[in-house]
Amino acid sequence: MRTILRVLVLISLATMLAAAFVVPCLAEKIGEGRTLVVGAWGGPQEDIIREYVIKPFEEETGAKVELILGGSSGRFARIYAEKDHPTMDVVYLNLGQTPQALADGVVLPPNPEGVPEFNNLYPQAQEFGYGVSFMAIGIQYNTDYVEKPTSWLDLWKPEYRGKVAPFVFPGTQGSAFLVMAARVHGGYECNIGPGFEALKQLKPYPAILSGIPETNLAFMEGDVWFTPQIHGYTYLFKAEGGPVDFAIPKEGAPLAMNSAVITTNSQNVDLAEIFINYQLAQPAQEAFARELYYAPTNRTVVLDDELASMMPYGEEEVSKLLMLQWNMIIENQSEWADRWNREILED
Amino acid sequence: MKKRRIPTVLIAPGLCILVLGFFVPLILLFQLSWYQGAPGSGLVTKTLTTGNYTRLLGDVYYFKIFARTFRIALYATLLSFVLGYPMAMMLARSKGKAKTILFAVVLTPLLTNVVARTLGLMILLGRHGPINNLLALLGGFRVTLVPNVPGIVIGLTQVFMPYFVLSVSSVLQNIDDSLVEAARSLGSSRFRAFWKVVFPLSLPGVVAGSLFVFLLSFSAFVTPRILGGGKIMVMTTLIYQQAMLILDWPFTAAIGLVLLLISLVLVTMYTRALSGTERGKVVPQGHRRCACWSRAIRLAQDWYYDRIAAVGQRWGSFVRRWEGMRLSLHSVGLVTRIGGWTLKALIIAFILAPLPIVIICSFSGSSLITFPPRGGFSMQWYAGLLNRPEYIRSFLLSLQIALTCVVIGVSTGTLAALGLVRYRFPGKEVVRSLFLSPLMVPAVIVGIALLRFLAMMGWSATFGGVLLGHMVLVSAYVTRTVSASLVGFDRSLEEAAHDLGAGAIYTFRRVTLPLIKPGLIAGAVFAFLVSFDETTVSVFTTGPGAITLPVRLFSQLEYGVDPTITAISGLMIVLAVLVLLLIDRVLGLEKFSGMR
Repeated sequence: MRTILRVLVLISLATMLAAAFVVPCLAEKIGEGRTLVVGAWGGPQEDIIREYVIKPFEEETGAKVELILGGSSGRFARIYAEKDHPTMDVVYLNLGQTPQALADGVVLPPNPEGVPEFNNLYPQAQEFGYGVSFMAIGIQYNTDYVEKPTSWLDLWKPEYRGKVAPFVFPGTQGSAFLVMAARVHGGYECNIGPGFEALKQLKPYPAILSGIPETNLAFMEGDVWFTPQIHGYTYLFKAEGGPVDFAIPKEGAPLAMNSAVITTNSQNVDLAEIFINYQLAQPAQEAFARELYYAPTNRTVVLDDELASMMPYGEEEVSKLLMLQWNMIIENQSEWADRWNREILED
Repeated sequence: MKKRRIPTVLIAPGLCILVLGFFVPLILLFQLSWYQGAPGSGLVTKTLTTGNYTRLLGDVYYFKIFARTFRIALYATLLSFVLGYPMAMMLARSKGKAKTILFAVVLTPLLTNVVARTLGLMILLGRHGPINNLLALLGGFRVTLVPNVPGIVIGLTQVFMPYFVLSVSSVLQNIDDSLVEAARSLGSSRFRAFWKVVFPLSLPGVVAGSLFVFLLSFSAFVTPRILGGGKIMVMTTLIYQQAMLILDWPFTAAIGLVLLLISLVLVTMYTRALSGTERGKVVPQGHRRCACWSRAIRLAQDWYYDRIAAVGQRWGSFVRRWEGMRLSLHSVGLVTRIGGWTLKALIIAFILAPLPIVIICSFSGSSLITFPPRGGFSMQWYAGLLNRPEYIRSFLLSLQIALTCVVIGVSTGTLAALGLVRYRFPGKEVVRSLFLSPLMVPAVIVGIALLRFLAMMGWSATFGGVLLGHMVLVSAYVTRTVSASLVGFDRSLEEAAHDLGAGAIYTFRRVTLPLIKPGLIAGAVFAFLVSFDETTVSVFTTGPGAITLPVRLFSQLEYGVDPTITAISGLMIVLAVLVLLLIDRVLGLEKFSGMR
């Protein structure tokens, strides 16, 4: 019996030791030859990156790329947690995150010498990291029930009461909608009060949306007539036959942007810069536009007219988009989330 | 090996896991709650402050969230009682094959992944789901069940009611039938015999089951998050928002610790209810400390039972009046019986409904999920899975972690159980409760404690980090299950083998192992299921690069139902049913549920 126990003890200790030593080794990538670790979104974005960025990159450098897929909030939390020893060299973030990460020194500011394509970017795309794609946040409206709105204020018309659905805060659409509600009601990022007051006037909400499938279903069933949306999602649903279209109100549509950035203590900055350069070049940018209606950030990228008409393309269109004060939005996010919980979610 | 050291050596491996994965993170969490956070960045300033607690306790809004959480848990408990009690009676009364089937019905939700089940409820309760379509057809209106409080209550009931049913039916089974016969022969009606005899005797089971359901509902995370759609705040979803979106970790820690305190109070109440009334034996009333208090309770109980019995009598006289109106007793009895059967069928349907709905929807031809599905029959979402490598990777990761958990969990858990059951040493009771403590603490708290700890160690979103969280839960389950099978073990059998000349290995292989085998198998099955389905802790410990399958489903579902999820959930439901069949073959369902 005692021998058996001894054997059992040994086995369990050995497996634990093995787990303790082997497992971190499996997860640790830094310094294993030349491997670039990139954190990106999965799904169609992954396919485009594999085909148009990773393929030429690996051919040129001979290095391997490892993709870590997931949502940007997971990546964001992780680059802070791993500030001194990042596992990821390149991360894709959104505009609600990039300014904060840059300000906190968790990611590197852009380096035009390493990334020549950076000089071809629109100024908006140079502001926060390496801007990878532009999106416009406008109004998705239900073509079965309503005419195209021309102003953000149209959503407050009495006949539409109970049919305007906000998006969840914090989030790209939700944050932008809150700020736009404030702006058209005499407020601003630094004076968000009117925004909350205006959103409260839209009650009762048919829904507070948080996802695309959910949004599409609500439009299909006629529960929702208007919601703030990123243009690409509206056009994708329209292409599937959804009863929707996209409107850019006269006050302007906020710009949303995905950026790629390099983590501060990355050991592969040189490789990362080559990688990002491919991401900013024509083939990748065009593929993003074709598959997802993400607008190019590079002014040298050429699209055919039909595709171009569905997104903010070209100097003039891009300059029409509103650059919100994302620094201020992020700074106040915790406080606004508190107000959101109390004033919007509670009845 | 010195005999004195044996228990230490046996317990050490399991304790290592617990200390590393549970106690140290919990202590760090406590420490963190006194620091100042920088919202939006997850950075922490190490200056001591009571700010997090004053913010939490000095604000009516947070109290409102607490009250809502409490209310939701209470409603879920009541609903579990209303639906679960008849189910428990059915289970206790049935015999043979019917009993096995009923056990399968009760256990199926417990074995199915919580995300897959909740998905079924989302479709069922949705604004354009079958229930609302029926309402629209009959009354021309729709109600928002999801995302809303009623949806969460229904979801929690669906998820946790099986615990109530098992707890009550085990007590009902031990009630002597002759008591009912005695009451009947003394002239009680069936109703009266039930309300005055059976129900009071089953109260211990009701109390234990209700407290358990309440505790689980109060600290549940996945169900309120998905069925509340981020719009209904309860304590756990507040924790999630603060930890994962606002990144204010010290404040999160403070909320977590308050939640911990509340659930510890609930656990204490539960264990008291359980230990005082083990196995259907009611504590004699005289043992209660305050006689006048207990008399008041009894008076209230009597009044309550009399009310109910009166309703039963009225029904009886109603039946007789119908009889007088020349309607045969037979047909009225038939109506009552059909009513009873419909009720039972509805309860069973309530337990099982989400599962077939998910499976049917997974064959939908449209990318918008509705029930009944549109666009005809299609296998496209299953075929599409092959092109979604991230799901396959997550599945493999979950499988690897679950299998590792089985190997490590069963070996360390068995050793700990041997040490705890067979040897005496100072502080044994403390160590035993330490081993079981992860089961008493809401999973969300284990999650946020690990979130911070893993980040500090640089293990976040690694295989080892996710595994650690699972191991903490698994070793507690295995220790408990194997302990249960060791308690009734007759050691003279081993001695007899030894005396007859069998060596240690031979004795272990031919005597000990066969006897504790059911416990080991049950432990291994638990280890696998707990790990493979684990969602709440993993939501916090996984991250880009290492996402287990349930977490991937969960994070997709946060943004609405997408057809690929229905396909995967369909597969997970099939897997659960297979596991169920396997358990039935190897162990027998009744035995298994007893160990749980």
